[in-house]
Amino acid sequence: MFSSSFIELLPDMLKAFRETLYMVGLSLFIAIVLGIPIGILLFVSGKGLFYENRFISVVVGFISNLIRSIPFLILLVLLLPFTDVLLGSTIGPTAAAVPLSVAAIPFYARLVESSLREVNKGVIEAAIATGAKPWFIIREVLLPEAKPGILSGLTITAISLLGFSAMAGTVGGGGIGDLAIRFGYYRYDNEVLFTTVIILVVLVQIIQLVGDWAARKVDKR
Amino acid sequence: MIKLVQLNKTYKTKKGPVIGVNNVTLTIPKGEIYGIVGYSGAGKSSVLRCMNLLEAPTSGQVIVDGTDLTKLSKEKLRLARQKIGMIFQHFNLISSKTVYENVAFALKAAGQSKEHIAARVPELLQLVGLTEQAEQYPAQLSGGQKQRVGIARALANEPQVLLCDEATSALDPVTTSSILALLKDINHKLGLTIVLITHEMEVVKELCHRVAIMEKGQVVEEGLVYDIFAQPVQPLTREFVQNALEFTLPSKLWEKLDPSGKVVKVLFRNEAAEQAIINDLLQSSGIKANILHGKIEYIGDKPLGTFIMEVTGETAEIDKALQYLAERNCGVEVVKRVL
Repeated sequence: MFSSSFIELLPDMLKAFRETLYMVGLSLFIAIVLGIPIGILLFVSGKGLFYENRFISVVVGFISNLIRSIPFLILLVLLLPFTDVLLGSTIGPTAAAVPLSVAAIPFYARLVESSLREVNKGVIEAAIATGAKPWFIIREVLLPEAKPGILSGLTITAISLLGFSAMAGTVGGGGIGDLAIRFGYYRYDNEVLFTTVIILVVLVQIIQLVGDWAARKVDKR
Repeated sequence: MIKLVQLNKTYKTKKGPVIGVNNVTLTIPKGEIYGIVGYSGAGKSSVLRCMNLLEAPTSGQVIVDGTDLTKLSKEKLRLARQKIGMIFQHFNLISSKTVYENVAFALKAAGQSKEHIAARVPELLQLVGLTEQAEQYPAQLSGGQKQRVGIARALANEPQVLLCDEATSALDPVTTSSILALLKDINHKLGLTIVLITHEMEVVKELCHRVAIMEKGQVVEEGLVYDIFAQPVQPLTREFVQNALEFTLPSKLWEKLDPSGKVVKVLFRNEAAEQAIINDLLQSSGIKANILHGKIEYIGDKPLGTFIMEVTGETAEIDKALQYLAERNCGVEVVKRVL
């Protein structure tokens, strides 16, 4: 069923698959750790909220728009010196995770912010009326109420990262994208090319299914 | 308990400033149920929301239990709010938390201990009759049940004041009266001062001790509910009272009436409602009276009678009779023929 070149490439493919999961997973983790707080900051510093602060709102908003407006391929190149300083290398999946994270943080932060905006203003008001501390309202009202949206945003971010990771592969990041270009494109090996596409399609479907399921699970509305 | 002194609130809009509250001064006595009535846009909601500073007034004082809230620091205001409960038209429950957790939220926000919360929440749920629903989510509850959760949450930290922002406007009539009964019960049991805003005079009649009528950001009339119902002065107040009390004669009936007679509406206030005034009247004068409509309302245990009669006889006799009624402290009004 499979040609010999495919069997030969199987170990490479598994390695590429692991590398992709690794760089997407790592940058997704960093996006969660930094993107959620930044998303909250963007929301609570906005107009009419308890930490209303025009300066923070404008500056953070501007930076996050700036990063999101740079095409990923260019961001990748622009960040090479930064990655070099940070890790001492620009090759490999860990190095690729740097630009991926930089792209994912503002992307996810905006998604978190918009899901926080969806939270019923009346509920926030009711919480203020009980005399709760702002931090307590963020933890006990805003985050739980926005949880379905925050999870859906994570799904969208993960799928985007998967796409970006293929690009990162082409500049020495490794992973499925790298494999597809090196074997599939440069060597005209269609079998490898299609296999990588199928792997990506299946991966995206799985991420979407799991993400939807999780978002539904936490939605009590 | 609550004193508003020369309260003003101006909103900035694209079309320029809009006055929401215009120089309102009110005193709400401790332990009373106080109603604020008005059409939408009259500023009643703004006044209520100034009472816990959800809206900051442009100028004026908001004195709750002796403290001027507008002078407090953020932290002190937060603590003061824990003693002012509030319920809302759309309930505003946390949808991702159970009934139990929603009530516990207010206690946690006030920094209560776990033991206190574990003891207090079941107590509150019992008070509002939701012990069975403790583990359900708001989406699984009916409107009335949601408002009960709101009440339990508002009462969690033993407030001295409960603010009700159109608390029954989203509920059907049966549920409304059960919520009103609960509020009455709480007022009675806990001695809580309740301020409620509504556009339904029925709610005021049923529940309140005092009422203020608002229009265009100002209080146009204020007083005991009975007095307002018995002797409304301002046109707007009359309109509200009439909506709750008025009875219009069916036009079919008018056709059958004797054109020479007069149709009068007589209002019996206070002790007049308990005396045999009509009997005295008919015996002492030569007129005939035919009662077309009659009703006695009890507003806070005090009777208020409304009768519509057709009186026939000599014009002089009729005028004398009407004067007699006015002397006996009745409100007399000749009803115009509407066909």
